[in-house]
Amino acid sequence: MFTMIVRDLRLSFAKTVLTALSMLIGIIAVIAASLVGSIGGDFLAATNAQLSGRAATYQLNLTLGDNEIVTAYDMLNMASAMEQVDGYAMAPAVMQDDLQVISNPKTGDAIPNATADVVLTTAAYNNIYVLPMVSGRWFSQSDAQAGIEIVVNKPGQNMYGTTGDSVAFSADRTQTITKAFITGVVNDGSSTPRMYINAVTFSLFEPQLWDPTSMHVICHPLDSTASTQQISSLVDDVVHDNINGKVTSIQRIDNSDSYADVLQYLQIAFFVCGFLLLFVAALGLINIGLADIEQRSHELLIRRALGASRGNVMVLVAGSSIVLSVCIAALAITISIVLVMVIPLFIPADAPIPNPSYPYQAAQYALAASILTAMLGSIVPAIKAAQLEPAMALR
Amino acid sequence: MDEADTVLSTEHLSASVAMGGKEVLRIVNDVSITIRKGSSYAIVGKSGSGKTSLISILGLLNAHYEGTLLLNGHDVATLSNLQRARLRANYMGFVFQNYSLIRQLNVWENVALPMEYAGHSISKARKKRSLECLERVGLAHHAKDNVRSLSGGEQQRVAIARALACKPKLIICDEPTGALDKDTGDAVMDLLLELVAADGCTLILVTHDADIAALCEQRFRMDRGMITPCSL
Repeated sequence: MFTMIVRDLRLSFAKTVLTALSMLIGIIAVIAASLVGSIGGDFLAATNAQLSGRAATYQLNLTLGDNEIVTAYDMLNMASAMEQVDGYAMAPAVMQDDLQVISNPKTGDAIPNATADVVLTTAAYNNIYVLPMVSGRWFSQSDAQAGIEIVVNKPGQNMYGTTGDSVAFSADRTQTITKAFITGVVNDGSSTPRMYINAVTFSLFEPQLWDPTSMHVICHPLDSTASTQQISSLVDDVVHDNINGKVTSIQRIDNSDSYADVLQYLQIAFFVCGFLLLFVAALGLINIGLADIEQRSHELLIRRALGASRGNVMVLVAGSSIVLSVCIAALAITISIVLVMVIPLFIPADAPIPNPSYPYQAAQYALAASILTAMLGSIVPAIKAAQLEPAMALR
Repeated sequence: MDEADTVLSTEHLSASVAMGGKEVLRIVNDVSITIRKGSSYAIVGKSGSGKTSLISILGLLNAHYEGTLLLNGHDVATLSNLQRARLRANYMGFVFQNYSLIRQLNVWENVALPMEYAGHSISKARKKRSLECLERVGLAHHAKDNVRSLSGGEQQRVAIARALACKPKLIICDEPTGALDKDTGDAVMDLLLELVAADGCTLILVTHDADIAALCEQRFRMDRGMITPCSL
């Protein structure tokens, strides 16, 4: 019977091609819907993590105690304490309004708007934000200080320099100009030039320029069930013990929930489109199947006369559609696997996106949708074929 | 007559078709016949006399009738569609007027088709039996050919091989030479009768050709649904 079914497919070539094409489009839409959810989700999560922090990331605003002075050793101790907290990635973000980057080391020209975008933070910042390195390295841990560490972003390469270049600093309240080297270039997803300075090394090695005006803490709990109260309490302990600070408010700053909602709607839309396409494919199958039954009614009557039961005839008619649907699903799954494998070839090395893995749930959806469509599309022709009266074979 | 010698018998067999409105046409009218094992029977009559309708009932192709039909002494009226299909595959062979070979299958696959429906699950065994049957009709060398490449006479010989594939007890032929010229038709009939006699099958043959009917041991004439024995 299986051989007969396969031969049936080969010999009704036009019918096979039309059926296959209509199903392939629908199944690819179903697979695309699943991939939107998985790979699309990974992509958006990675992009969100690059721009706003991994899900979930919180910003905790602080007051710095009565004297509001944070010394270099305060920074060093706090950074060390934060690195030792299990289950949380925490980094301070220090505000210092008067810091200026003086000149472009390549051209020697003064940099306009030199107080633009400087982030004073610690090594743990790269555990909260996904910041793939374009060249060089990120900050070292707090117990391995060897000098001021500066990392620039990709747009900042033209303004500040690249790995190995030096940068000159100054501040409004002092005439001192300090030189520091860029240890790395990072892809932070920003389109504006930005410089990241290791707050610990800056405070240790350039105390004359160190004058933080305020600070907040960015925190990413590894356990997604951690409450804001737990996070707030933990950070409060750390900042109180080290810089006599206090948490005044906490808010979530990553947008992953919004992305998740958008992704969900998009996925639903793709699934709806996919199932509509498959429904149309099923209608087409019914149409093709009924036309085929008309054409081969004599053949089916002969088979009935020779001893084929109604079940045999139904299996012959529906079986070819189901065998074809399995082949089409396999083809669609193979195409999608190849496409997923090819994606990394187009991702730059410094992209925050991880290499995608194939979601095998997509393959399950595709196979189930394909077989269901084939069954729906072939049941009507199969029933009609089975109802042919064998006595008509003699007419 | 010993009932053990009886393959098939009917008592007051009748069948009707609706003609539109309330009019009903009786196409088989009170037929009572007995078919003995190993004999050959011809049913002759004009077109529209009910010959084909009768053999569709005798061949278990049509279950809409009144009266009694016994196959090997068993009333077939209570059989399900599946049981009737299995009986046709295992117990009967059919030769149709227009050969009725499946064009999508090659020669030996056509011959093997009834065996597949009879439950012969081993494909090698089916092929072996097909080739044996083709050998008997002189067409083993065409086993893998497309049936469309054969002449009319050759196609009808393939149909005969197909009818004999499951070693049936009863062969039913509906105008087996109707699509053939006289010489080819005679050759096909000679082959059919020879093989049927060799296998001890019972043959029921429908024809409008008196010469063909004369080749069978017994003859019936059918007219307006009624059957009578006749000598030609």
